[in-house]
Formats: sequence, structure tokens, C-alpha cells
Amino acid sequence: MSLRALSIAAAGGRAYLQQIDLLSGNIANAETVGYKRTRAIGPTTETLFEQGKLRITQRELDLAVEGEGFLRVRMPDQTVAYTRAGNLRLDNDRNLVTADGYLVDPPVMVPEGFGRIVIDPSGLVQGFDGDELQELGRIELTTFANPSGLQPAGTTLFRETAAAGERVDGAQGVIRQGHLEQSNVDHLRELADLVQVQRAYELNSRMMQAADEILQSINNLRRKS
Amino acid sequence: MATAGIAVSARGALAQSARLEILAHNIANLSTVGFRRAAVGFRAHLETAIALDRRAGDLEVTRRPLDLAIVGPGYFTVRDLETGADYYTRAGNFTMDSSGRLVTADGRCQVVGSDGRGIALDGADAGSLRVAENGTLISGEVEYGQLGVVEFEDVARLARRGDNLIENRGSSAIGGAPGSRIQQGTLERSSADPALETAEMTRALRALEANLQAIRIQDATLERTVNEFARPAK
Repeated sequence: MSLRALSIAAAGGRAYLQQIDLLSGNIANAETVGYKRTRAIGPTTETLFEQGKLRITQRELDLAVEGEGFLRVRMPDQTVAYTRAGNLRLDNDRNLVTADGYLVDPPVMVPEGFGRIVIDPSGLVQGFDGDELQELGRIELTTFANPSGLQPAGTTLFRETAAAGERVDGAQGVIRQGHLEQSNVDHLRELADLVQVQRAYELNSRMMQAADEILQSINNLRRKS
Repeated sequence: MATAGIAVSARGALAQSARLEILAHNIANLSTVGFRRAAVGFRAHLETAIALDRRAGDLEVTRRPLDLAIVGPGYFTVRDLETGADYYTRAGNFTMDSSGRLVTADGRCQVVGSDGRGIALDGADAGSLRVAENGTLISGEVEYGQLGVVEFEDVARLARRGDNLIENRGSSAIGGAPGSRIQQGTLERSSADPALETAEMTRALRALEANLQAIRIQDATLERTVNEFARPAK
């Protein structure tokens, strides 16, 4: 009899715990450059690629993408991944790499002795060799018809999937040097949602408890005093 | 006779237990997009009657192009990709699958257009998709059909299937869904209400306990009747 209520509440509890995990993850990454918040849809999760606010850093290797498009990075296994986190740096071989140390794709090398680096809105990378401005490479953006279909690989990296639709290289967004894209997490909203889900979880636990008590009551119906 | 009384109390307890089951379902879906809470009533002879609440959940603005809410009493028509059966839902958190089809959040059902065919967004850029109030899907210059929104004459003939799908059991549909319009970038929250569910849960629990107590009392009476009054004289 009330066993059904018990199993329904158990399933509900699992779903609520998953949501709490998700919201906590968003809050934990609220300060992570290029992080995109996720939400639960049914049993799976979905990443929401709304634009994060741009913050001025004036660091010459900080890049933010304004509008659509991902920076391409080359993983150690030579496959390609996509990110919005443009806090780049130079590695020991003076290649442009992401904060995690992955090469920008196609690679851009800044030879020894180059001074200031200038990256224009279209992604053209130039460096001052003395007084002379020289072209060093180009940072290309990639867009997808359905970015929600991308598969997350770590906090700010994404992999291409069939669900993401057609991949278009070299288009759309504008690159802003000296800026970083902040996460698109709205602290207060996530916190408010977290409180709500926690309350729902509590209520759900009360239902489990109630179902348990009823079962106990039924078991005791014929207990001899 | 007292044994009949026990049966009546047992039926009462079962009815309350069924009610509790429905409330458990509401409580488990307090944050499920587009979930319609069910209300419990009793017909004659304590037969439970489940009815979907007519009230809609609150609307939440998400600005995601494929989040669609229905303002009004209508339902989206969706088709199970495995069985081909048509169901109805208020959960408009749709996505595009790898074949370019517009599907429900769990990917199991394809959204059906007003022409009765599944909606496909081949080559459309999900980010630039516009959905008009009448459900017409437009991306750039191309139209991708119109959402098949349906209103029902007799809501009591709708049955729940899983958490978020509705099955039509013999209600006729109102063509063109005149009372409904689509709002893009918006989701309907669950219509289950924590305060209401708690109150109903408490009531169902008390009623169930009362029935169990009644069984206990009748059992004790019966025991005395059999063991004391009906003891053969020595």
C-alpha cells in the first residue's frame, strides 16, 4: 500500500539531490573565467551559453569573446576542444596556451625578443619586434548551430558532438584583448533556487518518513499487547 | 457485523494511501518544469478520482530560445520516438537532437507541428530561432512549421503518463487552441505548491491513521466478543 509513496519519494529525493549538486557547482564556479552555468532538464543536464559580463584586466594575453563563438584549443591527444575561457599565457616554448596549458588551435608562437602583443577584434595576433609590428598568427573562433548539444569536458572545456550541429570556423564573435569573460552565473538566483530545492528535498524526506510510519503502523495492527 | 466494519476501514485506509501516493508524486516534482499537480477527490464508495489541477505554474523568464511556455490552457503535442504514440505536455524546455529534430528535454519525444508532422530544424541556428505567439517557428527567412498546440474540452479525461506527459483518454480537442499563445524564452514552473502539498499530506496521514485505529478498535471488540462472551460454559 503506502510502499508506492515511499518509492516515489525516493526517486524524488534522488532528483532533488542531483539539482542541489548542480546548483552548488554553479555557485562554486561563479568566479571562474568563461564558466557557463548548467541546469537540470529531466535526468540530464544542459549548459546555458548566455554571454557572461566582460571584465577589464588590461593584461595583454587576456581575451574575451563578445558574441557567439568559442576559442579552439588542442588537447594532448591532438583532438580539438572549445572554450570561452580566454585567460591565455605563454608556455615554455613561447606558444599561446590556455590557463590549463592547452595549445591554442591553430598554434600561435611568439618568438623570443618580441615586446608588446596586439590582438585585434578579428583575432589577428601581432607582436612588436622592436618598433616593427609583425604578424604572428590568427586566433579563430568556432560556432555551432546548437551549442547546447556540446559535451562538457571539465569546467570550461567542451567537445564537439553530433547534437551540436554544424561547426563553422572563423566567424561571428568579436575578440576583446585585455578583457575576460566572467561566468554567467547569477549568484543570487542560484542561491534562491538552491534554497527552494533544499526545502523541496526536506518536504520530500518528510513524505518518506510518513510512508515509513504508516508501514510501521500497519505492521503493528496485529501486535499482541 | 463487526467484520464488515473492518473491511470498510481497510478500504478507507487504502483510499487514503492512494491519495498519499498522488501527493508524494506532487512533492517529488516541486521543481519539474511544466509539471501539473494532481488533486485528489473521492467518488462514491471511496473510489479515488485523480484530476489534474487546472491552475498553471508560475512563468520564469530564461531567455533561452528553445524554452517555450504556453499562456492559456493548451498543451504541446509530442510524439514518442519509439512507439509513435502522441502525448501532450506543458514542459516546453525543448532541445535539438543530433538529427536536428525539436525534442523534449529527455530526448524521447519529438515535438509535433500543427500539420501533424514532427518538427525538424535542419540547418537552423538554434540561437536565432524566433517563435511567434501562434507557435510559428522562424529562423532567418525560413519557416520551420507551427507548433501543434491543443486545448481539451474535458480535462477530466486526461491521464498522466510518467512525470510530464499527458495521455488523452477520449476528450475531444479544440482546434487551433484559441485560448493559448506561446511565450518564447520562458518556462512554466511546476504547479505543485509546497504549502498546499504539506497541508494535504497531513490531512491524508491523519485520515489514514484514523482508519487504522478504527481497525484496531474493531479487532479488540471482536476479540472480546469471541474470547469472553462466547466462551462455552463449563
